[in-house]
This record gives sequence, C-alpha cells and structure tokens, in this order.
Amino acid sequence: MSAEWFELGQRLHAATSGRLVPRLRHAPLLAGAKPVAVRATEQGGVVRVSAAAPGGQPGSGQGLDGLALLAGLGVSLDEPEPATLVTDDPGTLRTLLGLARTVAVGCAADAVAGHIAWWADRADFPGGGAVADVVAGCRARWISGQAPKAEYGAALWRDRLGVGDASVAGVLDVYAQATAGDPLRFLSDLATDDSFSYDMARKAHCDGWDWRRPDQTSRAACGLRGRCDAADLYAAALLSDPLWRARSVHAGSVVVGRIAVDAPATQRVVPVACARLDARLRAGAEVLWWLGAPGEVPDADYTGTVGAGAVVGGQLVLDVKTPFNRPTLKAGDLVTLMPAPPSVHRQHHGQMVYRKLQYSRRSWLTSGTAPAVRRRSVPLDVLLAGASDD
Amino acid sequence: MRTIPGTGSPIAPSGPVAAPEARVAPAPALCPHPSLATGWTASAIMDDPTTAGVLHSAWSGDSLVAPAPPGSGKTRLVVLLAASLAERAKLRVGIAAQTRDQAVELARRLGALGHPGILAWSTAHPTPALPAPARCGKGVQVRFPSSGGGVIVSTTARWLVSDPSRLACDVMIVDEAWQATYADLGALGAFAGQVVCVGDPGQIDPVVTGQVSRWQGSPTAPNLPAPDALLAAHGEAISVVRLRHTWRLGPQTTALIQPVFYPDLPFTSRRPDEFVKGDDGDRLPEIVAHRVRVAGGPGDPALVGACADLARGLLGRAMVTPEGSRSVAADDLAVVTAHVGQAAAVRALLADLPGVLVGTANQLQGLERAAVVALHPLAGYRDVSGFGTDLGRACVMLSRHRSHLALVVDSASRDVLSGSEPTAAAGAHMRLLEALDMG
Repeated sequence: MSAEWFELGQRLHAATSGRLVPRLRHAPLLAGAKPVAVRATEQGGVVRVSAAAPGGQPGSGQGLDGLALLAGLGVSLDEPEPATLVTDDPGTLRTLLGLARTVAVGCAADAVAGHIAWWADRADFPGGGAVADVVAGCRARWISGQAPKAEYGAALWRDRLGVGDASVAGVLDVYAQATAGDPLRFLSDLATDDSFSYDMARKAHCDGWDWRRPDQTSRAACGLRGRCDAADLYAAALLSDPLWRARSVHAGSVVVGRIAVDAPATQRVVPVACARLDARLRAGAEVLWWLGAPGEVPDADYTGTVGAGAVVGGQLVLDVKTPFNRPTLKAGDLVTLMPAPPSVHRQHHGQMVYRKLQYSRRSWLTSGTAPAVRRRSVPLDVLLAGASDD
Repeated sequence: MRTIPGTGSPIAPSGPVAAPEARVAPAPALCPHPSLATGWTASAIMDDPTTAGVLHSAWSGDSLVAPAPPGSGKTRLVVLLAASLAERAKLRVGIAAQTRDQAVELARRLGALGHPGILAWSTAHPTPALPAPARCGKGVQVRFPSSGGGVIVSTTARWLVSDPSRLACDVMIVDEAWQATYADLGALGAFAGQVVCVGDPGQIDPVVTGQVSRWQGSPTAPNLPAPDALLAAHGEAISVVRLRHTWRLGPQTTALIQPVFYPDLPFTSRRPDEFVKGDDGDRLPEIVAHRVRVAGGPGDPALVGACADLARGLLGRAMVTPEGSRSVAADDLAVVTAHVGQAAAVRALLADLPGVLVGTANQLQGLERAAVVALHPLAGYRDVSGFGTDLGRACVMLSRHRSHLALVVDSASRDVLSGSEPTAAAGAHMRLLEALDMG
C-alpha cells in the first residue's frame, strides 16, 4: 500500500461515516497567546481589512484605517508580545504585505507594517505560532469525506466543525478547534524561535532597519538555515504523532520489522528484517526505535544508527547499531524504526556558528561587495600552458 | 563574467566523482611520483590548456567557476589543482566536498598522487583507509602546516562547524559546487577570500527542506546552486573555465543530452570506443528507448518489471572496451529510477543479483556503470508534475552509463506532455522524447 492509498481509505471512511477522520492525534497548531483573525482583500487598488480578537466585535477598515484597526488589536512592533495572525484565506498575508509596503518609513503605521513583515517572514516556518492558516491546520489534522480540492475551502471546515459564523470572528472558532488538545511535540520549541525572532524584529525596528529592502546575502543565508531547521523539526513533530506514523509506514519513512536473530544486550549490531522494501532509512542514518507497532506510544525508546542494508531472500534486512542500554531482543520481536528527531540544542548551536561564519569576517561573498582580489605572480610555464590557442 | 575557453586535447581524466563503490572511467591513473619534467606531483594539470588555464587563473588570485559535463574529470581537476596550488604556489587550500564519500575519494586521490593532504573527519564515523602520504585528522589535529602550503579536505557541513581562525586558507575549492547552496558558499567565504567552484550544472539542485518563497525569482537566492548565484551576483569579477569533453558518454548520448540539458555548455565525447553487443552480434545503440503501456501510475508493476527484465537481458552480453571483450557482469549494471518505491520494487525483482546497483537518481548522482537501465521520470504520470519534469533528475538518469542505456518510457508520456501547460522543462522533455523516437 502507498501513503496515497492509505489516505484514500481514510477519505472513504470519512465519507461513509459522515465524520471527520483524524490524521493526527495531536494538534498541528499551537494556540497563540494573542490571536487576531484577519481577512484582507484588494479590489481596484484598495485594500479592505476585517479583523477580530477573541471576545471582541469584528471591525473593518480600508488602507491605513485597516492598519489602524490592526494596531488597535495589538498588531504592532511596539507591543512586547507578538500577535498571531489567524486567517482562513491564503491570500490575506500577501495582501497585507502589499499594504504594509505602502507605509512610509518612520510614520505612525510603520510599527504595524513591521509586524506584518514579521508575519510574512515567519509564515515560512512550519508549525510556528506567528501565522496560523486554519484551513491548512484543519487539513493537517483531519480528513473529510470530500474530494481533496474541496478541503482547501474554509466553508467546508466551518460546516464540518459546526461553526455557523462565516464572518472573520468565526475564523477564531475554527482556530480554537484546530488547536484544541495537546499539541505536537516540538511546537513549543518552534514557538520559542518565534519569540526570539520577534525580539530581533523589534530591535531592528528600533535601530531603523528597513524590512522593505531585499535581504543581504548573509541575512538570506541565515534565514534559509532557520527555515530548513524549522522544516526538519516540524517533520519530526509529525512523526512523533502515532497516527501520522501509521501513515508514514506506507511512505517508507517509518519502518516496521522483526528482529532477525536473538540479540543479547551486549550485541551491538542487530539485524532487522523489514516488512517492506521501500525503507527510506539509509546507511548512516540515526534512528529512534522501540519494541512494538508504529501506532503505539512506546514505554521506552532507543537511539541507533543504520549500518548496512541488504535484500536477503526478497526481504530488506537493516543492520542497526544499538546502544548498550537496550533490553535483550528475541528473534521475531516486532520493532519500529524512524528517523531520530533533530536535536533542538544542536540546531541552535549550528545556527549560531553559521551566523558567525556569515557575519564575522564580512567576506565579499556575504557582504555583496566586489571581490577583493590579491594578485599573485604566476610562473611563466603555467602562464604558457594555460594560454588559449584559439 | 570572464570566460577562458577550453581548447586543445585534454588528457583523459582518471574518473568521475565517485563513492567508494563507483566504477571509474577507463583512463590513466594519476601519476604517483613527482613529474621529472616540472617537478611537482600534480604537474599533469599542465598537459592540457583547459586545466592549465584553471591553474593559472586560480594561482593568479581569481575566483572562478568551472562548469563540467558528466564524466569530464572534475574530481581529477580538483585534486590536481589543489596539489599544484599547495606544492608550487605554497598556498593553503581547502576542499569542500558535498558528501562524505566524495571527501574520502578526493583524499584517496591526493594520497595516490603522493600529496600529503589531510581529510578532516568526525570521530563519530569509522576512519577510512587512505593511501600515504594522505591522512585522516580529527578535531584539533586538523591544521595546515606552519609554513608552506597544504590541502585540507572536508565536507561542506564539516567546514561549517569549524573555526575559521584556525583553518583559514588562501583558496577554497568547492567540489560538486552545483550541489551546494549559495548560502553555504557564503559561509565557506569565512575561510578563504578566493573560491573555485567545480561541478556539473546539469545535475539535481541542492536539497533544501525549508520554504524559499521569500526569495522566489531572485537570481541570488540563498537556495540556488552556488555557482549560478555567484555568477549572478559577481559575474564580472568571476572567471569561467568550461570543461568541454566527456570521457564517459559516447557520441550518441552526448548528442542527445548536450542540447537539452547543457545549452550553455557545448561539449563533445572523447570516450574510447566501447559497446555492448546485441543478439545478432552487432553493437547495440548507446541508447534504446523501450515503450511500455502503463495504467497503474508510477508504481505500475509493468514499469519496474520492464526495468528488471532489461537488466537481466543485458547480463552476460558481450561488452567490447579498449581493454578487450568480456561479458556484462552484475556489477557492470545499474538501474536508476525516479522514486524510492520504484527502486525498492526493482531491487526486490533483482534480489538474486545483489551486484546490480539499484537506486534513485539522487542516490546514483556521481556514479557510473558500463550499462544502465533507467526508468523515465514521467512514466506513469498522467499530468506533468514539477518532480517528473525536473531536468536535473532526468539528466542524472540519462548520463550514468558508458556503453549502453536502456530507457523505459511510458508510451503515453509524449501525449501527456503535449497536453500540458507549456513550460521550459516540459518542452525539454518533449524534445528529448522526440529525439529518442527519431533515434
């Protein structure tokens, strides 16, 4: 079975039962401390913003009045805590950013524009708390009995979740249901990054940095590094969910197998006969493994490293190098392996070192200046050998 | 951008970028002793105007980009250049490889050349065996000689956790540079003020897991292949030396892939004549397309079954090379697919032939075999996806073979392409399939 067939099964079950079928046991979005629901549309060059905060009445405004509305709801770099953009319209952020770009540097609305720019930057960080697309969140959490394309519309989710309010205030009701329950592992780490990033954005705003200018090479490089780390962490967050692991078995990223031979605790390398051939775990990959099925929440899990892999008798056998603290394993024991999650501490350290490399020497490669060439004299034989003959 | 055209008759490279299990092209080995004529271990770089031009440019202080087609001797160039700059110009040279296997291969070749290069290696991995005088170094053992030149080889990832105040060098050579991001090249710039990027512009772009919409459309986006963005940002100040010959691909393959995948890098075949014989004893064409009717998507058993059958059909056939004639063995063969699931299915069907290399285009990048079976990346699709039309992936799949490529093509792919939204990638695939039909 492929992951697509697995999802089709879930979809058919949802259609016949008339209920949403969960893709995840945990919430894929973290409930923000200061959510602000926003919809923004642009027509004839005029941007209309409607917005609401929990417990308040929805408001609306055009152009700079729209930005003033957001400022009144706490969307401003002058605020010590960031607001979470909650929206059910994928075009809203782009429209808001276009509006923010019209704001002159240093004017009253600049702090609101800066906050919107921060949203636009953080929207690229999956699982973060800065921007919550509730439609994407619902798609990540549930599967409906409708065709996949229909799940891109907010109306379907309002209907399925029993939210009658189609105004911007209703977006907060959908958000509340999408964030209900325990969040996925690592989402709090991603939210911590948001807070750090917000503090940096506030400081940059105070220092007069203009977010409208294109990223300098070093800033873009660090931004890419942060995005990749966040994407890797979010992928690990998904794999921490038992339901997602059950799906991932059919994509090869979670591997189910059986211990091939008895392995006392002192034996370092344990051969695992895999149920499928399409394992994505390569030699050298660090893995997390436990005794039991992928959908189980293990009492104890262990780290390891995939050694060699070979097809023996039509079955993939992975040699897993295990630590000393594992129990004795018996041939036939069911075992689940998946990629070890990245270390958050190691990610932060790596980003710090990367930032130093990008900024410390201010090389021409990162500063955007012309290369400073230090000419060396070249011997005549090299000069002649390299001379073009056409 | 300053261009130094490559001309003349290059000497044969000693092989492509290769993981330890890779088969190398039949070509002279690097000279293990200092050249009597010019007195340094890597003087072979002077035998060809193109590689000598690279040395001249790098020695004089230029940062440069060297685009090279598949099988053109990139690894050999990197090794000779690094050793030459260290020994004759007394420069400290860093080499950034993109994978551990590539770093080991570079260090091995430095050792075989007689150069005392150091491979910076992690304590977490088994130490690879290197021919003396090359050696492995770990932690603070890794440093340049206190006087004179030297070469340190490591992966880009390892350089990026190193201390530039301890490992500062004069020149940083980036091997397989089209697999490195511009962001990482910038970080490598903390180690050296001069960079030399060597690589194949037709290969799969760097793998980036994060979202990059913020820089969409920017020619200097951090996720782009390092040489492309470097030329976009600093083109006027960067020298370009193109390698113009392939020693792996034959003339038919070269004529097929050069116009489609390398429109800005004209190159010709210098491969010695070699071929696989057909049933009638005649030579098989370099590339033969095998059309398969598909109804079950990319995972259709008909596709992977055809791949396995073709691989079995090649096994035992006579193969003629400059060294003589012999039968095609399992380890002469590779099967390359687009998807992990396809590779797994082929591997299962060929489980009795463990010597056959089976993998995805990403896994087989940089490797070569005498004969290859490739499963066209669009096979099974009824709409055109970005993944299926990615030109780098197709280029890798069509350029792993020396003697023969059996290409499994979905008989509906041309119709699918002609009915799709016209894009540059879809157009390139269409030209490719048309050329295969004519061939």
